[in-house]
Amino acid sequence: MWSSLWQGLTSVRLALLSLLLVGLGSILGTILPQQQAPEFYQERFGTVGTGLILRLGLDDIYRSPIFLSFIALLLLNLIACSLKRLPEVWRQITSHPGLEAYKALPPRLQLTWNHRERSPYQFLPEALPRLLGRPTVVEDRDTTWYLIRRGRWGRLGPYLIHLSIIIVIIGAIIGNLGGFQGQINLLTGEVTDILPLTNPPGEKKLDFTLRLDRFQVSFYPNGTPQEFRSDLTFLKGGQPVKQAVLRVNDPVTFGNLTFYQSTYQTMPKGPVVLEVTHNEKSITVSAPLRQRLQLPDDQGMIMVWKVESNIMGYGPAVQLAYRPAGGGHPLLFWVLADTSRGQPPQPGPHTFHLKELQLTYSSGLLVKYDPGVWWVYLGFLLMLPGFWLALFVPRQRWAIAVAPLGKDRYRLTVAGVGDRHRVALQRRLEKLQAAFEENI
Amino acid sequence: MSEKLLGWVLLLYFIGSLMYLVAAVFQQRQLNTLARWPVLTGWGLHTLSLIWRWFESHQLSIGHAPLSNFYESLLFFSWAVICVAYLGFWRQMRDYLGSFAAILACLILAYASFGGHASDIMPLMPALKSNWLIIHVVTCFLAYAAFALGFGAALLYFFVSRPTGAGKKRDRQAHLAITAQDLDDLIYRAILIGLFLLTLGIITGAVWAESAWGRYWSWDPKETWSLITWLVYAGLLHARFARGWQGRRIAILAVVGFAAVLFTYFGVSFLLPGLHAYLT
Repeated sequence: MWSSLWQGLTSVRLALLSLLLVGLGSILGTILPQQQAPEFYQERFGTVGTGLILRLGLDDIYRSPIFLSFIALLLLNLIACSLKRLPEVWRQITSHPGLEAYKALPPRLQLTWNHRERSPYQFLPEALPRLLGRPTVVEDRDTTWYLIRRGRWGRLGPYLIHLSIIIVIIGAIIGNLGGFQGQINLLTGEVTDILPLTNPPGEKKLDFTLRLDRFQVSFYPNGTPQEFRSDLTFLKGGQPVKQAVLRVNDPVTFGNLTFYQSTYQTMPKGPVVLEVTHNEKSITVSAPLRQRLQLPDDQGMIMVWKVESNIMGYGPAVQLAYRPAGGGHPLLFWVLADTSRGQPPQPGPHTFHLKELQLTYSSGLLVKYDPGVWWVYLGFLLMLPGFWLALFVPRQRWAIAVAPLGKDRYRLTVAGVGDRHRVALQRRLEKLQAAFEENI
Repeated sequence: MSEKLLGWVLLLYFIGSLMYLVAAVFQQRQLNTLARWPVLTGWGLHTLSLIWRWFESHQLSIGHAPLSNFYESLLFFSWAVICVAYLGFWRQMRDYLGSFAAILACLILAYASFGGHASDIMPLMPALKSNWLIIHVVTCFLAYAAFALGFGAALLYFFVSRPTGAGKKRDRQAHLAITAQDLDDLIYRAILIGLFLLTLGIITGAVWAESAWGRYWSWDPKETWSLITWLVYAGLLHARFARGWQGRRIAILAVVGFAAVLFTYFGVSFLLPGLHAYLT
């Protein structure tokens, strides 16, 4: 029972099957929209389909038990295969196969040596290291064998690749179980020691304080952001311990946390000052961002929803949510600071005019702790030599037999095999033949 | 300027492809050597036009390598096909296979030029401004090119190994100047090169994503499909090494693998949203 389970775990069939399953799961994850609300699936797949999707976790497939079990299967198969085959491969690499193994190689080339000054016994030990590799010389009755193995370490390649994949997967597991990720939004001058977490959800108290000293953003002529950066100070016990400039693509580490410049938001500096006109009577109101403001005499309600530093080339603007007296849905519209080119229509009965708008930015920082990332990188590093050994180091075995035919005459038989690379073997043989013909 | 050059490149690839085709159909072996010239000249001009585009972007003071949108990726893909074909398969670039490589490069260029893609040099968004951009895109597209050649060899394999009488088959192989065995070998070598480069591409992408977004892997559709492509070719190699598959079955897998490549490249860009959506 155990042996057949082991047989199954180490089979190539299971390897192909687990590759197929991981592949199919991945395909499903790209076709089926992920992490949507249940209503989204309900609309498209009906009650039965949605029930199936939610129960199997297909709405978040890459974290679903099914998909993770496919990866576990792949991992198990990789480990089992390595354990099973590696000792044998190692033995084959480190120990020399006997002469009999070489005698069985298919002959590729046969020629007669009749050089008067030089015997092949002199020529071959000199020339072979250059042409094929350092030979092992074995005498067998009147025949002298020159045995050469090329690229034997290449056999380790696939195992190195498998090991590196195992390490990458383990690194990912460590990162997912032991790591966390959060997002901090800071205004210039703002200080925080709380990290709101996104994964896993929650909050974390930091053992230091983070201060945003400055945020800068530059734009291309067409208005798209060119670069943004945050100047940060890390404080401990009120004393600055580290200052850093955080840019996109250029993370900063502090302790075991890594900070990334992920986004920024345009914010009003202090409350937005608006002039509100109703029945030819004007009043001035100060509206902080995203706070409801009652207009006088129960005439309605406003809220500053969003500010932009440059809306479609018309300069700074405020997006207002406005609910006139009598209720109904709030209406959203933009109020421009610069009215020299007119003001977009407003629903009324109130009209709004921007009196004062000072902008600032809030910097969005992604904060992460991932204890597995170095394992993942280690796996990546190992994978490259693994691929090199597996794919580009051709394994060849050569045997050159020299048998005397008469005075100064010898018969040379070249036999050899190469796995996988037929062309490489052929080229090597041509080189060998040319060298022999020059010297005969 | 660089666009004008590309017109010539397109024409030269087309001429080269025709010459290879004539060499194959009328068995004019010496024409194969001649056919290299228009293709290699075209490739030289192609290289020049890419450098020129790079230079132009610096003149617009938004300097970046010409690898940042769909149009530019097509230009580079076409360049990569010829690059991999001649660097990796110099001896095999003759007759139908030479014709395939040249016409593929030509068609990709034609699609880039006449497919209505925005060809303006655009500024880079901050997340793309990284040295990883060049190495990531270059390795990925060289891999795609190698897989494309494997696909071409697989198509030719089906053609060469059509089941007919044994004598006729030998005739056809002699006529095509390439045996099914050679093609099998070629498919395999192209896929080795492709898989190695794709692995490099995925790794550099992951390292870049880690420094730009703080996540080395986020199951973005492009990432996921590159993994699927990787799995198909890894499966192919296991089928070949460990289960001894050869010939027709490997050729079929090479076609399936290339379908995954095409989906990774085009399908994801046009059908699925994600981090790589700026390509469109």
